[in-house]
Amino acid sequence: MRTYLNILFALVLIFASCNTQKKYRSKLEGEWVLSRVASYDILQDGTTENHVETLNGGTIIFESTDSDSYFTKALLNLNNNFQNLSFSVKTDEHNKRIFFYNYYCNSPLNCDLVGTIVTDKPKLQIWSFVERTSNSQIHTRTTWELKRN
Amino acid sequence: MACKHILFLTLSLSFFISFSQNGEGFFSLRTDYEIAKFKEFQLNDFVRSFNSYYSGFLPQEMDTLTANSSSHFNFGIGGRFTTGGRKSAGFSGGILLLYGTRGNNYKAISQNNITTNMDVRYKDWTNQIDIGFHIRQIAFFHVHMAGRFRNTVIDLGYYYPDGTYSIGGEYDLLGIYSAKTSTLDFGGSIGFKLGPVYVPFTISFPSAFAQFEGVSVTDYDIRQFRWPDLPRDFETWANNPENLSTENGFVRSNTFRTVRMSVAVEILLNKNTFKKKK
Repeated sequence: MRTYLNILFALVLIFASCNTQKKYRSKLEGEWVLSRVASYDILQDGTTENHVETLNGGTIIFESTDSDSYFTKALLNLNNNFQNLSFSVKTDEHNKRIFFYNYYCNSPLNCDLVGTIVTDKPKLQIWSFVERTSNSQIHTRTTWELKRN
Repeated sequence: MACKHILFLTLSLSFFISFSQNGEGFFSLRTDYEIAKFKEFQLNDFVRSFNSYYSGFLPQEMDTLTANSSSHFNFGIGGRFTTGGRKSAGFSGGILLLYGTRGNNYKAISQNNITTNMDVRYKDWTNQIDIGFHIRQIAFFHVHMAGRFRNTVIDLGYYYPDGTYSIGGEYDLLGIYSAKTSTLDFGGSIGFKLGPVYVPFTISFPSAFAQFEGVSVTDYDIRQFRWPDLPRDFETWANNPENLSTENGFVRSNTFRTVRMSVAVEILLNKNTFKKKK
């Protein structure tokens, strides 16, 4: 009977350690290469145009922060643009959305960016972000492809 | 969520093991199908107001939820005990931990070829304690008390005309909304046992014990103009969000309470199960 209870106790410990947001944070930590950044416009009829693609555009480093266990600090370095752009990153509870807090933008307000996690693998992350024009006729999708350095 | 239920089962089974020293105890493997009927339909208020707001602009409107759209199979384990032996009547009881899930998809297609996609998922944990009596370990009559923990997650995303999906921050409505509905359910069951197979028929009613929190976006969202909670009145949310009533302007978690009826099959095992009868 003691063995039986020990197994049940071990099960409790295993399940107690599960937290998807923390797992994702651990997965992100370290240096990644921004291996591909692609963007294009989506028109109402389903066609796309203005395709732009950049390969090996820079690096991004994720470091854990002490402030909140769900957050990680990102340090973005683009080869020909930004250097040491720092912002906070976290995901939702289900690891379907990624949040960039205080990310760079032209406006002093609304500098948070929310994207969709398209691919979530230990050595490959693909995130997409959609912007819309003021009349919502055209949407621009930008995709980040990150590979573990 | 799973952690506390496993803990419950550990403690319960410890109790069960000690109790069964004085009677006959069984380890139970169970599957059941529950027909769950909603008591309220606040989410349909959102769907109807969404359809109404975009009236004339939606070649395909979003369907509303049906009463039993959260019915599903459950799987679980537990323990049962009886006293009085197999040739007379006696007390019987049981402790169960069940898990079941169900997902539904709802779509609205607009004239600009954007599809609003709503995925609704229910994840249900049920911790149930049966107590009652049996007749010759053939017929069982139980009343029960169950802690019912429902986690409802609603993904609201867009499919754009090129077929790609987004649940990002480009529109305020998009997001992952979730609600936890905890109820203390009461009910009863009649069951029949033949050999190691036990078949109970159960009905459960949620009591007034429930959380009255709103359905809200799971995580800290972007700093947006509108409320992060899912509205019942979409038109006001879109046009005059400051006019939304905090009392009844949002879909509340208690709308996901259900009355449940189920039929189950349990396999009852103990050290005598596999012994040959002399």
